[in-house]
Amino acid sequence: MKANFKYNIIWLSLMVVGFILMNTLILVGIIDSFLENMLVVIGINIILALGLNLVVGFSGQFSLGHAGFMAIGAYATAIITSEHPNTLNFYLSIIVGIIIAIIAAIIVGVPTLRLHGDYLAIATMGAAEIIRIIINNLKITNGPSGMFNIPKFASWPVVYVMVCITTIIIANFVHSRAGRAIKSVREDEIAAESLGIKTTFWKLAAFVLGAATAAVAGSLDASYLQTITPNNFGIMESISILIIVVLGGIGSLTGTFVAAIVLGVIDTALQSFGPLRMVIYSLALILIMVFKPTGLLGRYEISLPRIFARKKEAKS
Amino acid sequence: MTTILKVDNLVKNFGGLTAVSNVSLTLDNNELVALIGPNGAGKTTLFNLLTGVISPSSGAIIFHGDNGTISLNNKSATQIANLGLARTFQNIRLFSDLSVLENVLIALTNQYQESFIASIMRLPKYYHAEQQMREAALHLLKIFELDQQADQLARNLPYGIQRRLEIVRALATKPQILFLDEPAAGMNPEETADLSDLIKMIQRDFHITILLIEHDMSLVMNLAEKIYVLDQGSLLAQGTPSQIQQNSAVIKAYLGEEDDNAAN
Repeated sequence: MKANFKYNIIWLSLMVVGFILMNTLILVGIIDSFLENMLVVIGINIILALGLNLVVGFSGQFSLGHAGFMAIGAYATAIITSEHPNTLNFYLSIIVGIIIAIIAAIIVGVPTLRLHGDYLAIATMGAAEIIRIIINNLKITNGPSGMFNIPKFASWPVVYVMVCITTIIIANFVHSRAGRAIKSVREDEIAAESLGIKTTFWKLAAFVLGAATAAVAGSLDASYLQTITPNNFGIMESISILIIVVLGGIGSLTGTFVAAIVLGVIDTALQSFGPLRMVIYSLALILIMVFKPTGLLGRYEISLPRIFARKKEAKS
Repeated sequence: MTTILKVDNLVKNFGGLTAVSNVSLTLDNNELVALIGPNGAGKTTLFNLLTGVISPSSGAIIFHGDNGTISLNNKSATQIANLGLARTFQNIRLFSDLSVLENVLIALTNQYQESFIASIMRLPKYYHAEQQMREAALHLLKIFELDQQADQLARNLPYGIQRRLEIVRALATKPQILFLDEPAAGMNPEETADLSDLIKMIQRDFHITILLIEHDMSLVMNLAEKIYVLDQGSLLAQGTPSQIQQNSAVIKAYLGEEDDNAAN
């Protein structure tokens, strides 16, 4: 019990130290607004990819509809904060986005999660398209022209805190009774059923939690960029989130962090290359996939108990 | 002895093919029963019917469990497992990328409660439940001498040990009936002998009913108290091992008929 407490304190301090470090660098001017923008984008991508990794990597359900749930969060925040711009409403809008995304995920998940592999991918892709087309045709969302001048409440500190919260929730979820049940569905559904695991329930649980985190990322995205259109949340967005998950390692949360940061930095570094940018970016992806097909980290996770055990061994 | 499972005129058709036809059998409490028959006799289909992987075309499966008498006819595999019927598979189905310990912990999922809030906030309740589950799993692994391998990935275990782990995992669900689908398949004589002792130990120490499918006759004759013989989907014979050994219909199904014309 005491050891567990120690690890939690260490993780918490790491998060606080990271926060102070970043803020100092911003204050001193080493991180300019250009780099800060990169950090925010990376942060939002981490939240998105962590949620998708829970669905794809841990429960083994191939979903291509993540951007749909992101759109729900984005529009919830855009609509609510445009009407009544204050900080309280911004956080309220995040919660509203989460609730709507959860309801949508249940409606989408109950029929589609009976499907497997490619079929599920196509079904979730269709569901995300439906969400996008609904937004495209509603008056309250301002249709295809999208929403602009959304008040800016999401700054770097807010995104940082949200990344931390999402990571804590998903990492702790994965390392619990629920996480093991979800992994058993990925490993062998028939065997899981033979042990009395309610496979449909746990698949849905992972799907719903993934959708909720996507909504949070959508809210942050809308509030930070201040402009959104339905086309931001098409199939390409879902795929680019999937790329982060696959590149980092399907089923590795640490890998998702690494991949989101690596891709974010590559993307920023290539800004000056113009049209060549996407070619180099794609080439980098192909090379990583050729030489490391399981993703950068495979299923490796950072684990404090393991690190401490190794240190102790080295000492003795 | 009291009856724990009663199967009445069970039929399963796949299109025009009758894989299981009019099979009736009873399992008594704490009994060790074997189900034998040539390849394609419908043994695994019968297993799948009993464990809810597929549902019967007609007939009845009645379970007299601790919680009263229940019909298993239209129950899902998950429901049946939760009622107290556990199984292993002909082709090992371990969670091969997870550790030995995790394999057993997953089987304990429904016996312990951990709320979503408690686990994501890491409340003391979470640690308490995790600790209890770990202890229960390790205790079980220790009985089967697998505690040393607890942190290994299931896929890295030797074949015989994988079979044993699959049985431990099924036992972790606290079943009243354990179905073993060809547990000795691919084992050498030494491993088979170990398995034989293991199954006897399970029957004795865990007080459960065991139904096993097996081709290895030495194992079956050594272990079983009652044998059912299945051929081409229907029940050919039933009885004690010595009765079955002398049953001419069984010998015919396994070895073929003596050719009278050749003698003349």
